[in-house]
Amino acid sequence: MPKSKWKSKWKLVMVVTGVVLMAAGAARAGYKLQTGQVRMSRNDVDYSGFASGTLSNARSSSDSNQRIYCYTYPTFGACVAFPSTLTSGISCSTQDAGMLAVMRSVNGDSSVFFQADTQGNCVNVVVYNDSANMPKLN
Amino acid sequence: MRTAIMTILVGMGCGGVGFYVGHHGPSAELRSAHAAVSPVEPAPAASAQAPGVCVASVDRQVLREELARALGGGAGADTPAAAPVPAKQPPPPTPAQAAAFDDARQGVDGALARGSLTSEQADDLRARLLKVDPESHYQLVTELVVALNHGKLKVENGDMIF
Repeated sequence: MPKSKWKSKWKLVMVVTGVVLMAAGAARAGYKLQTGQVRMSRNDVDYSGFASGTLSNARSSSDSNQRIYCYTYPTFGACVAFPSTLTSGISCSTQDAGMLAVMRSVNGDSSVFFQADTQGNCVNVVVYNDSANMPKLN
Repeated sequence: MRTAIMTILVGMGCGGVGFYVGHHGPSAELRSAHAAVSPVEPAPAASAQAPGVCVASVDRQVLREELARALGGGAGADTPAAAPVPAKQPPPPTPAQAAAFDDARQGVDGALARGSLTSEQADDLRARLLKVDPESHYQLVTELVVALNHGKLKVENGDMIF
């Protein structure tokens, strides 16, 4: 192979490699959370507790148990979480207008945290709509 | 005779002093001394300057209003206290609503008794709960929430959307 031909081929390989690397870099730019598994903690005496998780991470988890969601009606709503390591879950319900508004802000890329008291009432509901969350792809 | 004249003169003097005090009121010194002794009483100067009005000549209604205002009751204090407004009672459930509630109640009780909910049972319970009034719906869902939190209810596929 002539030296000039080999040189131009090498140049082409370098250019293609550079483009691929740049594209990959662009696609991976920005801070990304790597965790978001559904977790819960429950007091085994009074059965209060809390749970957190990212909807996309729960959906893409390798196990078939993880699930976290909130649902609302006009007058009340509830959040529910099932972590991977337990067959049971935790939930809370509320009629509080402020917490209902928070629940309604959940979307497929949200992280959710909620806290239940001994009677199953929500005492705290937090939604993180964060760019670092993994997008829910399917 | 001299004694009698002196007595008459002293008597006239006392009468004059009494007339003066009675006509002009107590002196400033007397008033300040009185105020110092009994500070909680209203200042006599105010009452001394108030126009002399016979209470009997005041219209009774006006007097009542003034008294009520002075006692802090306001203009409407003499009106009888308004009867407490009874809380608005929800209308009694219609037979259809009562039947829907009984049906949903049975569904929840069945789930709690079994301690488990399959996806089909959850679908069925959801359909029943959606027929009851919002408040009863909330109360029944909360019973399921408590059962889940107590570990007394296992839910297939985590389907707790009721």
